[in-house]
Amino acid sequence: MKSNEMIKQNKQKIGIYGGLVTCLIIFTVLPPLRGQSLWTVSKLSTLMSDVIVLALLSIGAVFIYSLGNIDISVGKQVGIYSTIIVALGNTTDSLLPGILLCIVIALVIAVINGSAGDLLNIHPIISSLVFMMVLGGVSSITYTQLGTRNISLRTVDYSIFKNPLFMFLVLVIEFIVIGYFFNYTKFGKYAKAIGANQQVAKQCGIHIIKYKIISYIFFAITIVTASLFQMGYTGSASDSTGTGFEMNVMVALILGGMPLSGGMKSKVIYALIGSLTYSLLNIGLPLLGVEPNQVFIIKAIIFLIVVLLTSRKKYGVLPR
Amino acid sequence: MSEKVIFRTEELCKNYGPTIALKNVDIEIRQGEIRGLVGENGSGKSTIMSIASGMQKQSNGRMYFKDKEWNPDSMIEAAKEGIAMILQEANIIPHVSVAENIFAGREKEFSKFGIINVKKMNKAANALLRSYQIDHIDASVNIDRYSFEDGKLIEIVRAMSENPEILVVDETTTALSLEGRKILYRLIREMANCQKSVVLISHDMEEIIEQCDALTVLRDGDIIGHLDQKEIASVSVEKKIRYMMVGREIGDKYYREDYDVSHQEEVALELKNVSSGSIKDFSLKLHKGQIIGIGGLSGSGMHQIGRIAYGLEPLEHGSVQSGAVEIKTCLNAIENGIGYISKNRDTEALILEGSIKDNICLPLLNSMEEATFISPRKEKSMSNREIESFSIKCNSSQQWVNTLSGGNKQKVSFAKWTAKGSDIIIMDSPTRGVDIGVKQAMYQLIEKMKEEGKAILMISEELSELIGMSDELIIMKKFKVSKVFQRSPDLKETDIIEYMI
Amino acid sequence: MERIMNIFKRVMASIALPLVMFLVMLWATHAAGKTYYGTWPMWRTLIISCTAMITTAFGIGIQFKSGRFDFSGGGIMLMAAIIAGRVAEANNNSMLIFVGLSLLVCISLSLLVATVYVFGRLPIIIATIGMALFFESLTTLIYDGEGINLVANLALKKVGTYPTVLIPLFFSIAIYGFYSRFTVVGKQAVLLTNNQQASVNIGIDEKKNVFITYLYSGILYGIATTIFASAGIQKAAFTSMSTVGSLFSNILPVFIGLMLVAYCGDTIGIVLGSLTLSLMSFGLSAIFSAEMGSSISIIITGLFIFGINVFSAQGKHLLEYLKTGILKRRQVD
Repeated sequence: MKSNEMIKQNKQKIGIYGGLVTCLIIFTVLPPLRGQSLWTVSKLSTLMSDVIVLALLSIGAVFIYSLGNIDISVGKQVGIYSTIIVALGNTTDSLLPGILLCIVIALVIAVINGSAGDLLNIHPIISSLVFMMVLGGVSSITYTQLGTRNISLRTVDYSIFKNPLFMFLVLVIEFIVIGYFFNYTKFGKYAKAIGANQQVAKQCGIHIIKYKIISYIFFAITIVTASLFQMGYTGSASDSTGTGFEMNVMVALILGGMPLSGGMKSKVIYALIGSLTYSLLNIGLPLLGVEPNQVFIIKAIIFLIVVLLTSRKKYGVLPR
Repeated sequence: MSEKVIFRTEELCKNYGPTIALKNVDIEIRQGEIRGLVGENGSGKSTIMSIASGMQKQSNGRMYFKDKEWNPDSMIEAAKEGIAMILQEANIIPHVSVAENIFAGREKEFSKFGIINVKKMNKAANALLRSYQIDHIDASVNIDRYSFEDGKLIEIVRAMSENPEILVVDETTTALSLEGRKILYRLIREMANCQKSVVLISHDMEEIIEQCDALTVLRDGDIIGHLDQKEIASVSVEKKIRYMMVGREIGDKYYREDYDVSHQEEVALELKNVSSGSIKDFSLKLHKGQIIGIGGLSGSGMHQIGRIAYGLEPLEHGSVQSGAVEIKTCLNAIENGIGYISKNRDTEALILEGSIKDNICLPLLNSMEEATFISPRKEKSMSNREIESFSIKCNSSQQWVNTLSGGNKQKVSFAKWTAKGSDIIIMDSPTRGVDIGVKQAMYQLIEKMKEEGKAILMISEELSELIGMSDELIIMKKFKVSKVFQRSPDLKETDIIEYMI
Repeated sequence: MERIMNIFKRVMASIALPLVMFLVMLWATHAAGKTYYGTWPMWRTLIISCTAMITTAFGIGIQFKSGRFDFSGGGIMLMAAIIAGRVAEANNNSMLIFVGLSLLVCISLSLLVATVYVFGRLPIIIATIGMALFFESLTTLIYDGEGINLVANLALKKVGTYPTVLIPLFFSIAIYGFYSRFTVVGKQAVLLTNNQQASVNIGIDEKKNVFITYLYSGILYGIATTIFASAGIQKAAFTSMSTVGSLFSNILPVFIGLMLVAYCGDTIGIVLGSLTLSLMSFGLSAIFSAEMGSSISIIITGLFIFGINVFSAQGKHLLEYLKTGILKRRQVD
């Protein structure tokens, strides 16, 4: 009886961590039966490179999602930043100018996205939608003018970005830094409060626009970091780089248990769990002999199972 | 009023998971009587009738209406068969017409093959409104154009549209103006005269005592007792009812007993000729150690004064000063030691989906941080201190606010400002929806605050509370100060009411 | 007299947007020497691309009006396109099978989404994202994940050509308008959207309403599929959520439609919105070269949407300011 009670109360946690733990168990125990293993250096490296961009983006996105906002310009931002880094890398033989330029642009976008909703009285998703379209158009024009489908780094040595240990290091650092700011400083606490109830936050003296912009700035830095790794894996960028990333972030966060309405229940760890689970499925399922096109449907089904465990609204009217 | 029992319940029970709302309740309603149901929040008075009117199902027990077993599936079905209920919350649907509101759920009656005849619906709705002498509402118009009170009138018409045998009115009169209440009381009398029954659920003692033929008092899901017409007419009935509602002697001391209006010299908060929105040229001086009450009808502008004093409304003229500092935004206000408890507790004062700790610490975070770090231990100790000092009933500071009772929630919204150490507190409807026992504790707290030298601006729609607690009482009418009263043992509600209307 | 003035004002306000867009584009294209714009052949092609947008927008709009952001439409249409197209091809290019299966598949999958939402009690965005992923993954499994290619199939493509395309256009407008204005379900949907708790308290059956609304959106998506399938090569969705992007490019007419709802109702509003956007993209691709045209078109569309949203949020205040000279206090809550 008591264990039943415990299961009920912790259903949410079971759903979230359970997915990850189950995956780890299955992918550790079963592959050896087929002569494969997850825990080899090469497989783990592949896992790392599969997860790095998504994880870096998702962790930063927690700040935005805790406000209750969704950002659909992420993908195109990654695309543009990768392009800039490669292009400037080729002209200046260094990655630094590109990175700096990207940071500046990202900050501008952050300020606009963070303030547009309240200043102009429009839904915050609109300004990110507009950026997605504008950046997409700019990217297409750029590549049309360059007359090529993609560009690659010619002289700069970007091999460090292919190093899985470096990826792991950066991921850990970002997790610690964002985790600190989100959980132990007013930046994260204000973001959660604004997402939970903006009126209350305002009446407690929180400057809404300022702290929304700050949240977007945290996200912006992680986007630039992720773009470095996106570009760094192949040393190139193209018009289609980053397509659909915002959706992957959304799926990863939902999978990790992040509520879409934000608020007090938001946690940075959800981003990590969600993106890890997502990538584990990508890498682990083939080890079990699953065909590539079957991986997709299994991911879809697992997604549905996890959300049914974590996001159900039990009583009252249908959820919105 | 006849002796015939038209509705009764047998061992009615209702649980919400582990919470027991009704425990084996047996209640009887006679034909043609006006029965009042009184009780604290959580006593079950609304629950019984919401089950009877088809809004929810009971967990156990049976109901009988007109001697037949009664099991309605929805409010529409119940209304059709003869029991209609007007709920406490605003139950109208915005952005659509009045007619669509009145006939919500009954569209089929005005449609053929699934196509609605809008003209027919409007005509029927208007006829219905006129029959209750409500001439100022046009059914074809969008309901957004009408006030909250008119919305309640429309709900009443909706409830009456199927000619119910029993009409249940749940806390509706608080939303109505004098005109609206007249219409409602007239309706209740008419129903009684036609041998129909009315169940009046209310917190308003005066109204209950005046309007009802019989009273039932509930507490914690149980029926404590009934009072008949003779007992209602007796002199000490109010005290008796209060005793039954709370279950213990709450003692005579409820509001302040002293008449000491002294306060410190220093002006804590001053509004100088402020104009904002409908408020024009309003001035007020609040001293340390003083309680100023602001009262009036709900649309008189008094709630706006609170918002203006806290910096929530932009000023067109004049200024709000605290000492030497001009208050322009609520950030200013907080930094200068002003706290604000909004009347919309669940939407503006508290984050329901958040812990007690997070709610209490939110205004403090700025002052708690050390080089960006906010210590979780400090947060915990601060909130625990407040939980203890207010005796907030909870398992831990991590508990979510929406699991607390109304009174405890209100304590949390007070705790925010005591934790912050605010010296000036603006409270709007501080004891609304709070149980008697808790109210008493709050009045004691407010009195203590005055003794500590804090400045309090109390805005309330409860006259007795204002009379009982304020040093100075400002009555507002139509956005202007109507009259200022000083604290005195001779001050009566009747003296004040004429300045409100 | 006043009534006629009122009607005139409303008509003017409604067609203002597409009219102005047309005139601006007409001037711009002719100034750039492209005289194709404004000719009858252009209108024929425009109507086809408009219809594709309108029918999809209706499908999205019917749920959006009820406050539901539904991500699954793209996956549903892709599944329907592949299944209906393939089976029809295998059966002598039967138009009947093509249209029939499009409708059938869209309706069934829509009802499936409704089932997951209602019985899973999941927030709508999460439920529909899950179903979108599910449907997309199915498209990679059926017919070896080869999608559908009707580019060369003149028989089935007829639906996507003028004048046959007017049939689906007419039906979709009729169905969407009928739902909103005249049906009990449509009216109750509005009640549920405006005050969910009150409507349920009163006794309106929310579950039934959701299912019937999804039936309607299924029908509308089915109509949209017949045009969508014949528009070009439809690849199976190998990247997750790839159908979402193209689905939501059709949400813009829905925004415009909601803006115009006071003047001409959202049905006509969506039609006018699609018209405006199509006029814009045709004009821009005429002025610039094809490649550049679409890129610039996207940028300008994005800014246009931004402008529309800001205007409709602030516009009332701007208009009042012009009228009375008093700037109304804006609430930043």
